[in-house]
Amino acid sequence: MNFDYKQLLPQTQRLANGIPLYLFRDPNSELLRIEFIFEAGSRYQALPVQARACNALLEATLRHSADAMTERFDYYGAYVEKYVDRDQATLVIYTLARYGSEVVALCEEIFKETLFSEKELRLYVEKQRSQFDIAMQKVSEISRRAFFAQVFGAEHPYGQNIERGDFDRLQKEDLQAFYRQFYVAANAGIVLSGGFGDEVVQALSDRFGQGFPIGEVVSVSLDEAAALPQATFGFAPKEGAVQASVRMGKVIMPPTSPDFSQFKVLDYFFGGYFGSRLMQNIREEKGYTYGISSYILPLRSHTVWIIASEVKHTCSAKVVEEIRREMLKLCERKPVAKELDIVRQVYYGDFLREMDGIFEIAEKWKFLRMFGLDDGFYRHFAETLETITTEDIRQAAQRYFTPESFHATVCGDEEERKVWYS
Amino acid sequence: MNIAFEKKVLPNGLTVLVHQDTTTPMAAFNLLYDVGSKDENPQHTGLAHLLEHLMFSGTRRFPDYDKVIEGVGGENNAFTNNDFTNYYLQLPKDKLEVAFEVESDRMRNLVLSLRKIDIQKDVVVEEFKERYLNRPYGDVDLLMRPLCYTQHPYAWSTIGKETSHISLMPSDEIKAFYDRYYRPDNAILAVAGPVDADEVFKLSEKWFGRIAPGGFQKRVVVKEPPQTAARHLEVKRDVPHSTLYKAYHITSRMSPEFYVFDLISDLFSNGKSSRFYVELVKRQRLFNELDAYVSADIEPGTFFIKGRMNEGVGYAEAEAAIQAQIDHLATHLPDEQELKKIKNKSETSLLFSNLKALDKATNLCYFELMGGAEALSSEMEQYEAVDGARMQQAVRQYLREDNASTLYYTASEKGKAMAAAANFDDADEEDE
Repeated sequence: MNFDYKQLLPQTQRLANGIPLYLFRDPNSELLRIEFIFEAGSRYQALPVQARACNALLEATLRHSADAMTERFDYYGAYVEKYVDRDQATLVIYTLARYGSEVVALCEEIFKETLFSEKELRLYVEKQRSQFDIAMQKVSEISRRAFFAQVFGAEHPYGQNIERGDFDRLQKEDLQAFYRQFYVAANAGIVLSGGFGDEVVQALSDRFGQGFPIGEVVSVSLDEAAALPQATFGFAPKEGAVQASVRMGKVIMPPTSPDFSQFKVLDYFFGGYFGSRLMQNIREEKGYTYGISSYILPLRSHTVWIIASEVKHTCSAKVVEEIRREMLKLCERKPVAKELDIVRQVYYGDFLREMDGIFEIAEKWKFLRMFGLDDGFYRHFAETLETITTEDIRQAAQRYFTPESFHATVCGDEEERKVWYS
Repeated sequence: MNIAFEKKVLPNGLTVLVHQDTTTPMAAFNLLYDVGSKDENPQHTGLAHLLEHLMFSGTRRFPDYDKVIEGVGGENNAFTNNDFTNYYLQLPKDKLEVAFEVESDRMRNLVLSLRKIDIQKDVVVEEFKERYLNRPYGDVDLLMRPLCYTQHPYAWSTIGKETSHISLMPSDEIKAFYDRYYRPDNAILAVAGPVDADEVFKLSEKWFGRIAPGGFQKRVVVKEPPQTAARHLEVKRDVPHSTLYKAYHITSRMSPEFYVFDLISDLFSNGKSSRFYVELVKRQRLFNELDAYVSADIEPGTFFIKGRMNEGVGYAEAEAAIQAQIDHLATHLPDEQELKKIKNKSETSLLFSNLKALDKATNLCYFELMGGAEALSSEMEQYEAVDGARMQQAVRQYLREDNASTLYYTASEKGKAMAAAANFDDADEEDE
């Protein structure tokens, strides 16, 4: 594969207060993307929903109401997206390149003159509670939640569940406290990409390099050595469900591990692409599902491998059985060379598509940066894919596909439950 | 925004469009068939989409379509809507010919075995359940369409009216449908990427040139008679929130008025500074979510409003508040600042929707189907040309109660109670 890996690395500047500014330039683009990353994910919160609410309410300022601020962003054709995962909180703005400097000025105001209001908080909470109610009608959501509680334990920051009532307990002081501690220069990074000129870089440097509290780097050490729960099986009931939802998975090695790339190849074979073993068997041969896949979720302290599918009513046990059988098959027989060839080609194609465009490349940087990785991560993976043998794959399967190491979660109705408990 | 292309129509009727984009190593190949669920027999709906699934079940020459594409590092997929069926691939540029080979092959040589048909029926029925039945509010499309359309085939969803239409689909009907519509003179091909137009035209001749045209007459679609009185439907479901849906008949995606309706929907609900959000979600607290959008249908489509109501709010109050917003626009011109805002937002989305070679290839085919691919490059001008007066005119003419279908999607006590008892994990954003 012909690929210039260097383009995955940004040009990096340090602002006066230490905030790193990463630049990915494409002079032909009429759009630009600004991403603010803070080490402020849900794992750091003292109260449920605190991290998400804090991020979501970064709108109103001392000088302008939330409405006035969104009106100003909208005027420049900007789309503001906010994400909070377990580790990080981000604010991403896409806008017309010609308004880059104006939009940076708006960003400065929401971060430096932040004002949390009780009214906005109540409105947010109401909306979240409603979305929560809807989500809880989906078997996929119910099983996903149960799955993480099983894998990490219900008390673990990565496995915690919250009650519906938690939304109402949140006060604006909780948001202020969280903001003061975590939205500080020491925890920040900025990624700028697209068709920006030097004036936008200058604006970011002037406006974010000073007047921002430095704060303290948060401690990110979960007790990683602490024992996680043994493999479990969980059934989550959902009355009236016409399908069942299946989740299986376990904690695996982090992306920084030398073994990661072999596992990633194994994941591809198993459920990582349309023609994978799972899709072939469970969709194409048995017709149990519209889709089944496996994927890797790299969290900062633990990386999880997950198999997910929504399946035909009362077929969840058969599907779990087939998943186990497919694991066993890979342990017993090495795949044929042709299949490895296909996986190679699929990966190269996926990779080129994932890196096709400056915004795609900029987006990947968040992941690399979190694990202290660089373009070598992808080079190493491509090398592994070139040199791996079908026997290596079988051995990797034997190491990781031990059925007793997997958690499994099923969500479905009463009949589905009887499939398991009768 | 200018998306330059070259065009050639082969003697057998296949239209070929080529757009050069040298910023990507990947070539995009998009093949659109002018057949959608509006072409189905009302007793056997869901066929166009079922056939889309079956198009991946192989030919004698390429028994496993996906493996061939995956084997050269390509990715492919397809979608069906009421108007057309679209197949698309992306693959490394030096493998482009493979796309021509497999796509020309399956245009005529699909093997439709009973076994494959049965499996795909099962898969599609599961898709039906997953997306329409086993999901809160999933059946809204199934309910709204027959309410809006009494004669026109937009009266059913692309997935089909009911699962039995799919499971009982006669296989000879599937074969006849394939034979009629999968023809070069019923298709539009666009290739975008680091390609040369002559090279693409040559490949098109080489692989598609010998396929016989169908020569079938173009469809005559039953016209929907003008609506003259308000329509209502109420259903009760186990969902947490009662929700109000309204659909007004409007013009086709191909008319200049489409851009007027699109901007009206933006004025109402695009972003947190939009009128619906500021006034009805935030200030009056009537709705939890309130959206307006237009269906991009080739035949005259609908302007849609969907409002998830807050607890304690009744339908009468909710509808009156929406009507007040419509009336206000009908009687007060929006100011220049607000117009500039929604046009800037449209420009951003337009640039985004034409960012990738594949997006451009798909959009070129779609616009060619609507009458001419060159219209794709003048979309921003169409938005620019909209002014307040045209918006008012459209609102007065179309957003009237006697032109609307209204669905009350009412939450049962059980649905509300289940919501109140549930637990929730502080969910991440995740791919699933």
